[in-house]
Amino acid sequence: MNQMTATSVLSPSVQDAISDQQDRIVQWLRQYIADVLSLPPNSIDVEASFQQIGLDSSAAVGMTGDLGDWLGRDLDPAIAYDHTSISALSRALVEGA
Amino acid sequence: MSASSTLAAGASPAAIQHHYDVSNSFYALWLDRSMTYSSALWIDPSEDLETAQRNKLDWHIDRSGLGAGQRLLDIGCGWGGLMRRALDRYPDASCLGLTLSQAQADAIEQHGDERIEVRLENWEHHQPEQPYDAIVSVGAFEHFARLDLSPEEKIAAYRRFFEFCLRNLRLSGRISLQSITYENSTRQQFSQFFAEEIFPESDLPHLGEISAAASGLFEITELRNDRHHYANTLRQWLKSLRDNKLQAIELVGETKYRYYEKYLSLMVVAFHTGTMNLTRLSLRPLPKSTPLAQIG
Repeated sequence: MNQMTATSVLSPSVQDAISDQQDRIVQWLRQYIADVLSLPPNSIDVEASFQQIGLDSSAAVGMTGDLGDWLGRDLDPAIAYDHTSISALSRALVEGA
Repeated sequence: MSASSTLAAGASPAAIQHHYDVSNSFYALWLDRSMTYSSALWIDPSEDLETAQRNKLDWHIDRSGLGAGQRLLDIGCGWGGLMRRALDRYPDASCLGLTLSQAQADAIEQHGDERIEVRLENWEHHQPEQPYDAIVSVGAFEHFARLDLSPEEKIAAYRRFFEFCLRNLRLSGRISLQSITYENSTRQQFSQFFAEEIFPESDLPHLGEISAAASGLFEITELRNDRHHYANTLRQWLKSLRDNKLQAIELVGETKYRYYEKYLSLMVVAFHTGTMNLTRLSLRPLPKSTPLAQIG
């Protein structure tokens, strides 16, 4: 079975662009959550679940709505419940979720 | 038409009007043309919202057992969409709708269909001269118990509803119900935002509480748990609300718009994750039971 991911068959420059985009989303989410919780951005663990970090459902849907506005596209309000960490959500978004 | 006094167990008229009397024009911006404000039912995923809402209305009309020339009671009739659909299918039937929302009652009266009577009245105070042939209640059960009732008081309140139905339904009649229910959550997790801003004075039932309340009065003949149907319905309402953002803000102001955007988003999450469920069930009256002879 071919184990290659969708992004691994892309040219290096396209992969770099995707990686940059994912980094930008990670930084946006870190800063957003840090602002909501009054914490330094570096203290936000990108692998921890949003629930572990301390976001309740109200904050999570607010974050998803604001992230959609920033990206310029409608995001499903439940996306942060299917991709439950900063790392997972950012990866899903660049992969077309 | 006169407003009923406050109900002991369920949400008061003021609490209902807080949500449903925001503005009919506002709701028209994001509901489908039939103004159906409850979960749709998709038979085929490719159907549009209006078709899925009609499927839902037909599901309930069918389960209520309504036939030609018969009388239907719709408890919590909203803007009257189910009654209008019932009359499209059975033109010589007649319908009575109960609502606690003045805006909804006014909208139905303006429609001017003589076969439809609407009353601004709580079901607990409704005393018809004749029993009905069929009863439906879609999206009202959520308001039949307040958040401060004990579990026993809550089931007792629901049982009064089923006793009301039994008193006012022919033995051959049926009830078709639809309600949001707690699934993987409890009253304690009910968001303060919902409780205070969106649906004041309203607790949700657990499926088991509905079943316990109907026990010995009605038997459940059909049950569907359709939370994904409600998540999809809410997604479509949210998209339409956002697509009509400027008009919505013009009608109700930005604060209210934000409330509804947040409420619809939270509801998508709740149904998507199974915190809440959407229960549809049909019931029929049990025969008056005859105690078994004691042996020995």
